[in-house]
Amino acid sequence: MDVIGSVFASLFTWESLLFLNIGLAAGIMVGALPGLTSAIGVALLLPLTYGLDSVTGVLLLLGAYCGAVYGGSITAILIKTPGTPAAAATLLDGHTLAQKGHAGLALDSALKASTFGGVFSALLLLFVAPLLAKLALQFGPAEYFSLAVFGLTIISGISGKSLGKGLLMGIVGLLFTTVGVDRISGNARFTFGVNALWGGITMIPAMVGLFAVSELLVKMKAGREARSTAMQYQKESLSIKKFFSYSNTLVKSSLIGSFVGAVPGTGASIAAFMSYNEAKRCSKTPELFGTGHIDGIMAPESANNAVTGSAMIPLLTLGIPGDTVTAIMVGALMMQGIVPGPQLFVEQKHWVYSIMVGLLIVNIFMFLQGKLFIKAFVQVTRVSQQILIPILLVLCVIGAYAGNNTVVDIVIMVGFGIVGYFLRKFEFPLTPMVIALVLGPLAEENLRRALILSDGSFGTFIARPISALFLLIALFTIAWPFLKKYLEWRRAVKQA
Amino acid sequence: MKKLIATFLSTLLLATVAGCGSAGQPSSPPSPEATSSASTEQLEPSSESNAGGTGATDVNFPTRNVEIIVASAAGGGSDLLARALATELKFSQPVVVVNRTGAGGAIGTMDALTAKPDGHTILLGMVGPFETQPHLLDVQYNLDDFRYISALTYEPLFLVVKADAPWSSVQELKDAFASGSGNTLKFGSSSQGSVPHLAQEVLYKQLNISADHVPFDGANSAVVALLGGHIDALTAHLGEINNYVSSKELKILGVYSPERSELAPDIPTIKEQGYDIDISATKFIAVNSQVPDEIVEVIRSAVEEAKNSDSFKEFLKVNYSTPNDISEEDLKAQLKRESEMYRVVIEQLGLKNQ
Repeated sequence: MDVIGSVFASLFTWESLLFLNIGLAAGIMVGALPGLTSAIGVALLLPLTYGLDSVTGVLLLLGAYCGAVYGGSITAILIKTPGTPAAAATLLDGHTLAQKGHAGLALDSALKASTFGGVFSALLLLFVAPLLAKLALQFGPAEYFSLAVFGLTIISGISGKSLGKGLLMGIVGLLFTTVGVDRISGNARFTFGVNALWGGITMIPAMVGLFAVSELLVKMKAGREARSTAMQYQKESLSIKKFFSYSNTLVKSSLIGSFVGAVPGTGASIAAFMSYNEAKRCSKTPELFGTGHIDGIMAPESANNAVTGSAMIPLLTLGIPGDTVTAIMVGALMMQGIVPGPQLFVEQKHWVYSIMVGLLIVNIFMFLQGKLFIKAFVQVTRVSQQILIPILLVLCVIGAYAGNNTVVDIVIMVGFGIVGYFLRKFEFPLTPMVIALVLGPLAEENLRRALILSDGSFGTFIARPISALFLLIALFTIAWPFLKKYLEWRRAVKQA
Repeated sequence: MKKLIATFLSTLLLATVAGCGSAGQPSSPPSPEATSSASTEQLEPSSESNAGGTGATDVNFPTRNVEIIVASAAGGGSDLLARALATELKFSQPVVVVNRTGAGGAIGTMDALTAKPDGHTILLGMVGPFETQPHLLDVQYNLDDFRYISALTYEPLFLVVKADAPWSSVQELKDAFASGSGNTLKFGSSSQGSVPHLAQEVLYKQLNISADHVPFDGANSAVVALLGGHIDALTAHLGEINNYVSSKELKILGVYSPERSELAPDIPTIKEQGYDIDISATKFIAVNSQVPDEIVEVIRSAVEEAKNSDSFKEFLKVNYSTPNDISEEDLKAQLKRESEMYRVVIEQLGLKNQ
């Protein structure tokens, strides 16, 4: 009981609440801007934590983390430019719904779903953290490979009208991930003597180019006519009753998000795509996905925010940072003299529970701040294209540069932007390429690691239960559309 | 009117981000003193900033932000070290830490060399890009291109296995995996061609055991794989494993240094156990060798002063690093010697296949 009392005493100080909100506001802004990810937001705020006590400092960073993961959806919905890779899936239905004149509804759904996912995983962190941490350790190279293969099968589900074009984009995306110094052999591949390519084609500039720059080019070409078709915005919100009618999607997506988040080395974008695909697969109306379906917003948004809480699980229970954001948090904690790891739960119980409960509070404030930010951000739709496009292009350049401070990334962004423009013109779906860019390295590296461990035997992927399970699900995901058609056909035959 | 507000808001947004972007990741919010001394610098050059410098009073340095390039990701050990140092560097201009990752640190190292050699770009040197990467990739630098201003840390390497593993010494590990026994040791490291990787190759060759290397993506993921029992052994720095050693999930079989580490005096050296090996890592501050001598001296005295600050010493202690004070000549000689050793190892292993 003492612990609970002191936890609340340390959380409800004006200092904690103030910095938590500063973190959130900065996070939402950074997240909404194309190319600036949660990792950059957290890194920018890192120096601020040096002067704070450890709980307040971590709350500031958690605020930025949750805010940025949510903030990406705002621009995805409003201007078809996902602020972060995690919001790339939200774009599919979010922007389409906005184009139909329901931007308000799309934004409100995204905010509510994000809050749901965040709270869900914060509770999970509070109650079952040690259990999930044990599961995360079971993931060896074979399991990571099978998980990535399953992730790649999602391409079949979201390729839109043409499966062939989708697969082609996926394969090209996978090829791009082979550029740069190979992590397993240490040799440079496909760099054509350009040393600047040793770092490879990184995810962020490629995604900003594909989605944002190509969209801006399309808008530029549309020129003045575009203004007349500018988006109509009206305030619309999703009633609580209506919101909970989506609880199936919400709970399932939050579970997927929490699971993916707890496995080190995965991330919010993978979770978002997985749950989008799952929601579509088990929906009674899968044909509505991509046309502005609320389920298609709820699923990725609840899943990507569910990652935030569970990403803290390996960090707090094992001392393992699962992604870049938590790695920066470890840095912040070490500076404070707190060493994350298994002994934290024993030695610093109070501290750990403050962080866990703090995460709940962060999510509640995220909801309130989100409401305010939506009001401010929708003004963007009123800005004329001639002003908006140059500003957004500058932001894209900054976003591409900020990740690794190199000009090469800007060149990559522009290149992908031009390619993306033509791909759009010929109606190639862009999302499969992004999925491939995210999952390619995970799949390739772990395939090779697993084969070193198994002395070259492919049996390891089937012999290990978790890995076999993922491969089965992958097979099922590929077979499902055909299976479904067959079942429908049989039903039709029976009725006839 | 609304349109006006909207335009204003979006420009404001742009301005804020531009601000963040250009500032990069400031190691600390520029303190009031730093800003004020910067603005008065023209009137009274070197009022306080260069006080520690020897004969450096007539040097006009720095005249703009000083960048420390870290060739690895934010939040990692090198990044933390650079940031801890940056907060203690008393220059008249702000010090900014910039992360440039890729190719095991070779990209950041090359960038430090291509920047204007005026001392405003300094590099947090790591042994990987200086000693091993040049033998793996066609890097556009060599050891003579840099000046090694100051050694920062000495970081011993430790051989680690799971706590419940049946081997408790290097000898027992050797017996279990002796070539011909049919067992192959699967060992991990932070990355291919890294010092922890090559250290193990050297050791296992001496032990004459059959071993396969599994490169990971950073020390963390290798440690996770060991904790999960996916690999048998790994080599890492103390800060990366000490948590799990104290929670009795991992155990250390030995240290690669010739003498026991003051960080872990109970751990026997591998040399004590009968195998002649001396491998460790060093982090240091380097600049382009074309930087004028007088500026090098200004940087050196500032770094030395920062190294002697209480907070930096405390940082090293918390992060399991030992301060290192070897001279520039000794450091350079050490880098050359070790680089030659790794060249031979890499050639023998056939790691470079171009």
